[in-house]
Amino acid sequence: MTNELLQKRIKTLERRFNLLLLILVVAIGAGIAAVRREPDSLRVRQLSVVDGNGVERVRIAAPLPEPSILGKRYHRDGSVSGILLFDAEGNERSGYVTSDDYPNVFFTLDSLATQHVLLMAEPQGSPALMMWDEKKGALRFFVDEGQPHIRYSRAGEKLVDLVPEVAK
Amino acid sequence: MIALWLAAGMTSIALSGDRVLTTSLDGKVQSWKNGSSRVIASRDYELYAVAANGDRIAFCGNSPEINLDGRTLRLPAGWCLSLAFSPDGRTLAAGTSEKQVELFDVASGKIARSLDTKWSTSDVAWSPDGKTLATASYGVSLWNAADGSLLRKLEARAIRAVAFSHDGTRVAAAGRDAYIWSAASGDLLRTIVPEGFAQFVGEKAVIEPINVPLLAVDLSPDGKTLATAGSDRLVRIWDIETGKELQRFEGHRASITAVRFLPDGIHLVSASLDRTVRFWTVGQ
Repeated sequence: MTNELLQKRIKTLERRFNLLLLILVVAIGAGIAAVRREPDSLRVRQLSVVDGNGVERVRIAAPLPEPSILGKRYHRDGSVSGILLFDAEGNERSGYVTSDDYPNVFFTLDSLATQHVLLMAEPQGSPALMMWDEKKGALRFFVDEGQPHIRYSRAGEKLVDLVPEVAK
Repeated sequence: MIALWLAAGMTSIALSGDRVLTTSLDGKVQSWKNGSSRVIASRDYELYAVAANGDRIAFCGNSPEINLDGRTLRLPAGWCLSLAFSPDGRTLAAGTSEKQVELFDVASGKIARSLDTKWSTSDVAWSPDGKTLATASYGVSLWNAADGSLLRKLEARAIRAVAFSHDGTRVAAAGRDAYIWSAASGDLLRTIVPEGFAQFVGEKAVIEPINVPLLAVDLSPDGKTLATAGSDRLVRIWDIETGKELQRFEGHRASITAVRFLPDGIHLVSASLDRTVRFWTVGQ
């Protein structure tokens, strides 16, 4: 190979190298810009928020995990998706969920022992609000077939239906 | 009182000779002796139970696998909530998230018998003679260990822990309240209602007059006193005959998941979701 030809090939290679370097710099710059930009949306199966002690306090998931109650995890009655709130010990205390098996939507408030408030809407449109304490005193509000109902029961007694008598 | 801090909430205690074994939600089994500890096993899931019989150790948690001295036993369904060796060490009872308790033959690792408990089983305990198994599955059930037949149901609500007295004559359980029954007749001998919840204001515990669930119970070796603990964050010692509270230990800042008398009957160990294991001296 002559010296002139060698020089020519070196120059060609230099041009190609510089072009590649330019492409690389532009690509890295574009990549950094893309990473720095705020995402418009986050598409995940679950999102967990933990407190300063590492205890999970909020979970958004589809489906949600089985409930953890006072250090042990138990079965949930049916799979649900939505939002759960946990107390500082990690106990599940509230949920705003839809059922994965039946198209109900629920909002619940729980003590350390059991559920105490349930607000729900059924798929055909019947809403209900139910409250009960650990001694089985209960108060229920619901609307069904155009008829409002309020029912209550004292501990150990039968449910008493209030509104139909009043409405007559 | 000696307090030892750990990485994650503690879930169970077992005694193995002069060692105290614990499990935690970060999947660790730890062995405690003379105030120091070492991790003897680790898993990538929450651990809920440890059992010991002499040097033999089993542990389990949020998995169908039970570890028995390095061997893996497998539950047919669900996960494991509680464990106990029979006194002769030949059978390992596993309470599960499903409606069953599995009795494993320790030698073969196979399931010898399944008990239909109707509910998930938070705790299991053997009578000292090994003839009866108590299960905490919402209420308490007593089973004939030989043939798996249900001997008796002891009515109580939301039971999380169960224990036999050392002479086998009494069964104690913890749930909404604490209960003591005659093991022979099933008669309820005493109900203990441990009112009070330790709310911490800075370093000082203020006792709020509310009832919260109990999670742990144990009877002293002499059978005279009962230890309870739970979401009240208090370890309490009760006189079984009178039902009076004899002593109260404050210090845990979250629910106490396990409490055990040490064999000397003078010392107690408790484990909590506050990530501590605490040793207490009774009678001081």
